[in-house]
Amino acid sequence: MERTPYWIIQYGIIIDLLAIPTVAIFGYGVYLHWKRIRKGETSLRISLDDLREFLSRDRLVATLWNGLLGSRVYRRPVTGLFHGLVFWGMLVLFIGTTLVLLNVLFGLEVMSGSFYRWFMAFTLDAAGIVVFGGLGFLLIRRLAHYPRLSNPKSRRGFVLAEIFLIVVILTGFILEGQRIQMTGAREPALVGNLVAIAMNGISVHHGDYITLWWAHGILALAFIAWLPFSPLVHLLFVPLNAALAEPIMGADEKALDIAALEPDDNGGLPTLGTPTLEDYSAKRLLDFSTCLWCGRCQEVCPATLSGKTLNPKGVMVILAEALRQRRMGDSGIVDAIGMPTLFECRTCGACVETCPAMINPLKAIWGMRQNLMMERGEMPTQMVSAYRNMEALMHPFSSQASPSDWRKGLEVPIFKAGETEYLLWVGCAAAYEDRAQQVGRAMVKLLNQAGVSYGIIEGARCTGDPAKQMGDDYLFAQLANTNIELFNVHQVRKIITICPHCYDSFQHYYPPLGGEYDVIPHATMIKELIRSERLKLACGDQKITYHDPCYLGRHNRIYEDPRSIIGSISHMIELPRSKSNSFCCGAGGGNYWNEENGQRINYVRAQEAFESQAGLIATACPFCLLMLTDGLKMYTNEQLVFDIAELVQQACEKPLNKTAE
Amino acid sequence: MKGDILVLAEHRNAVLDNITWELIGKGRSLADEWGTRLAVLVVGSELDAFIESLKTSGVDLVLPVQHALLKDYNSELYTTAIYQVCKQFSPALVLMGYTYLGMEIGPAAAVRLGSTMVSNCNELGVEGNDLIVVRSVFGGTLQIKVRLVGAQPYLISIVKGVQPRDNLAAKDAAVETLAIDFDEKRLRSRILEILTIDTGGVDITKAKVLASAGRGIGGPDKIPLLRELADALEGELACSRPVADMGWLPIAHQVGISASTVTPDVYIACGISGASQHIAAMRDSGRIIAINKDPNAPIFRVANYGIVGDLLEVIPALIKQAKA
Amino acid sequence: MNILVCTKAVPGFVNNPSVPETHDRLDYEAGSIVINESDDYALEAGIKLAKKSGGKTVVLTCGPLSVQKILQAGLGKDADAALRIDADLFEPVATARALAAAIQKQEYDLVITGVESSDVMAAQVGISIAEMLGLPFAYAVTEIEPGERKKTIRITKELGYGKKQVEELNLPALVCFQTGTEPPSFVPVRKMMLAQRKPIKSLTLTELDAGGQPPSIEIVDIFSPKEAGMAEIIDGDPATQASAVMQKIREVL
Repeated sequence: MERTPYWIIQYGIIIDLLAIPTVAIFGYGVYLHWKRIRKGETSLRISLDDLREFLSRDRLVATLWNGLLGSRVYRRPVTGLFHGLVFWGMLVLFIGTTLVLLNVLFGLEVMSGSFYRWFMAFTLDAAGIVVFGGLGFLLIRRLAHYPRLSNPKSRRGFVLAEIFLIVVILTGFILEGQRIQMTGAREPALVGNLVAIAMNGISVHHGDYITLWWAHGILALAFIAWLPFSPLVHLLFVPLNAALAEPIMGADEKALDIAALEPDDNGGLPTLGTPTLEDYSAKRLLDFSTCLWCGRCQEVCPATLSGKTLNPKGVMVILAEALRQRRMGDSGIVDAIGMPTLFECRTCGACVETCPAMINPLKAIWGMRQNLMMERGEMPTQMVSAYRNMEALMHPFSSQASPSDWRKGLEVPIFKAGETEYLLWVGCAAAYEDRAQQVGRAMVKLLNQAGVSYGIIEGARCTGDPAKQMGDDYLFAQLANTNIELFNVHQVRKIITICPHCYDSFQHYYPPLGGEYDVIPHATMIKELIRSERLKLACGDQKITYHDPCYLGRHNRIYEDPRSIIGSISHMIELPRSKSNSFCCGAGGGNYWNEENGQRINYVRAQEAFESQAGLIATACPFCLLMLTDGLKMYTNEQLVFDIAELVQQACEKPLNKTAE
Repeated sequence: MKGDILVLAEHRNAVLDNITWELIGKGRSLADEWGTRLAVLVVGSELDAFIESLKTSGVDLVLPVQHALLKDYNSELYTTAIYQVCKQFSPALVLMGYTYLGMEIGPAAAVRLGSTMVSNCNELGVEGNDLIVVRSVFGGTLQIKVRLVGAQPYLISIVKGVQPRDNLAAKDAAVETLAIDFDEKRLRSRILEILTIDTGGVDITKAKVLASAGRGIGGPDKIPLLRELADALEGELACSRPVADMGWLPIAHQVGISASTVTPDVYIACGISGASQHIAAMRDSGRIIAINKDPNAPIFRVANYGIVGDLLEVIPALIKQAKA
Repeated sequence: MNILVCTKAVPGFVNNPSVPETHDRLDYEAGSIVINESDDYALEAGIKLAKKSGGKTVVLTCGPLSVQKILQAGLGKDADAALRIDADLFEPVATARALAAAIQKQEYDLVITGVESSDVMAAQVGISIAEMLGLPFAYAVTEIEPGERKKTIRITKELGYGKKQVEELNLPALVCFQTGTEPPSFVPVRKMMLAQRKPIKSLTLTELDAGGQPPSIEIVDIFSPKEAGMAEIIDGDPATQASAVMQKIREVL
């Protein structure tokens, strides 16, 4: 059978011509976004390297997988299902409408035969009902004030969009039903047939049909024209955001340009940090334009979950509204969020990892923190001591102890330029914190046992990472430059780190300052030593669980090496929130030295670890070690938390077995 | 060098401070070595009782400066007193404590006398013909040995609690009242009031046992545990300065040179690292027990017994033992 | 009230300390140079007081060019001007002489210093300056306000043993400001950069006619303190330790 497009509609082609103004309005809507986003900072230098990286396989895969296919949406199965119904259903319907257009313009054979029956009739109907169902769920959920969506604010435009589209589909079905009734067509259009049957007895005048047809068409086009002014603009922005996503989720990897900090003749200085929207990069402004206020970030943020004032969605709401209102130069955004709140961020990156629209709230927060530190000189009082210690002692702890106390009584080789292969960098926590010193000592014993060519540099203190975490890139650069000079004098090429924060700093933030080294986290080193059998260990039967440190796991994607190690020494069980979904220990962002409001994050994580029923809790970061050890005291007197280096060292002596009850 | 020695006595609340005996002890040994006189200067408005005890303290001479003007401590008047006594008695060496008093008037007296002051000394002795002192630098992590070569008299301030406080053979000392012109009309400072910390009924100086909390206990939520220990031993709660500053305990419980100095029979220092201002205020306790997770904490240098461990494990065990 | 604040630059930590041939100072490698903590409290108190009373603050130090950054930090904290005496001195009395000579050339109502430097730990410079200039003084001051009478200040100072004394001092005067408990603020990068542009006057000892006095001390040696009188450490598990400690306690009660 054949169906005639436009059938009884005269001048039906006008609907296609109306596509032109529709596209124009659509384009204008996109242009308005572009105008705002363009006000952000952009670096227009695109080198061949940048281009190569841009077209890299990873980025293309991410754009496709995260951006176009929206894979992250499906992490929440129910939402994923209904959102998927809407998206894929609409895609099918869109294909259908396009085919009709092609038929009208170029005579593409789609309106007859099997193709018509099974695609244009059956499939499109199915798609329509599927979309209808999806929209129904989403609308009801939103109207029922589903917490994640409505706290702290619900994004306007969704209800309208859902109702709009429901009306379009309803009118479409009614039209179909009317047509089928009037023409007596026999096609496997399920819904159309049902509507036709339902309308049995109601005579349909041609006039009604025609009116409804135009209404449906114009509504549909209006919907498209309105799209960029609505939250549905994310159809465009999410793939774009995925394509432009930065590979490093933390602070931007550029050195503070100290030369640019010389005041010009007017006493002017470049802005430090991001006090206004204009100071953000265009990518950040794209983030704020893309954000749907879905609230998944607040559901994973350790600060929000432990009752603190920080809420990543709350931050995005303030920034998105400021952007929408074109308040590009308004520096009130920082105070609208508040200094104490901005410092509650642990920089764990859970918000970045979970966002289905590939937004990075962390960088937005970080920029404001940098402004508070470097321009306004404001930070929580408790943290000031740690900051001043960094200035005076070159490490953040209050200890006056010497940097060699951690290795008292231990034979530790000293790094010799040109002779030693690896520099062992213990980091400030393992040097100055009592419990963490054991990690350094364990690592030394392992490296000695394995016969690795390594050494330490005496007097080494801190990478400067805590300063960077707090937001002061200048102090970070001072400490980093001191270390880089020290490394250059010693001709250091390779560094083994014990702390993921040290790893992160050396790996990403030292190169812009001129310090490029091969950095190996101790998990990777130990794994390799076990694999090459330079360490001989006994395997036990103890159940060990592993807490993924944020800066080893999420930030640097190293999940398997520690697990491989644990697998070699005993039996591993996963925590409920693990790998990229790991829950922060609470020490990040300089908060190790801050007073904590609300529930303690480390208690929350310690409880999770304790309830895993594991006999031992392993981690690969001295700060996580300290935080979890402290947190676990709420639940048990036993010492259950150990660094993987300590566990391997124990396993080299005897197997880690369950203790006899 | 050799010459007469003058000790500056300190007192409060009608009692001579222990530093006085430490300085007299040191002065006596030097005076004996040199064969010179040891005198003690005591300044105030009611000195009779002090003079009596100082007469038999081992000094050769007591020099009281008594005046109604000296009822309250006035730095100008005290500086004048020391200056004029030095001019009249002409000691070669003046010993005082590295205390609020010594810090405030010592340098002024030295400048007025045009002579030399070296402060914050732990040891004092003679090498050859020279006076040698040992004093702290760089936060106490190092010490230097210093020879005095400048103009005399040498004013030396000594850290409290370092020199021994032995009972010396009593000499029946002479008492000489020197004439001091205070020039009251030219005073440029007036005392308006004296403030005492409101203790709210708590007097830790009277307790026989003190369970003292330092920052190392971890948080205000651990204070009840310490209170349980104090109660089990029929003692009182005390704390270090940071704990009082952070509000975990009222300042009435603070042990430190700016707050209360205590001498209980038993002092249990929990999570206290041992800052010098704290140690100076409790080192005279009968028995000092320190519990700290850091084996390098300075408190272990002044404690009699130490436990390196976790407070949260040791204190409950102690409470159990105390109640047994 | 116009206020002068005397500050000192001290090392954050030292490596390889030694006594040079001249025996008049200490040599060492300084890890970092910072303002003496006590002086930082004095500086903030001084600036606050000057602002409140509509006066100016000048921050002074006696040290070589390398310590200039503490003056810049002072300017970053809104001090109005800074002055450096170009000299590298160890003896407190020599430092006091230099500072007193510089102060004498200034117009001021109040001089504020810290109570003790973390490197030399003498606690002498402030009071010495006061006496050299013939000023009334107070030590371990925790509060300063303009006095009720003209040209006076009202100060609260610590006497120790839980007592504080409130005094009225005639101006000009000198006070040594006690270390507080909340750490002083830090200077953000922006203010530091702007401060670095401001000129800092420097004077030599010759210009001040304050040098050339013979030393009054000779440094003989530097060493680590003896670990005298260490506690008897009780080992074992908590129950054992507690039992041993209780025994010691019962012996004296």
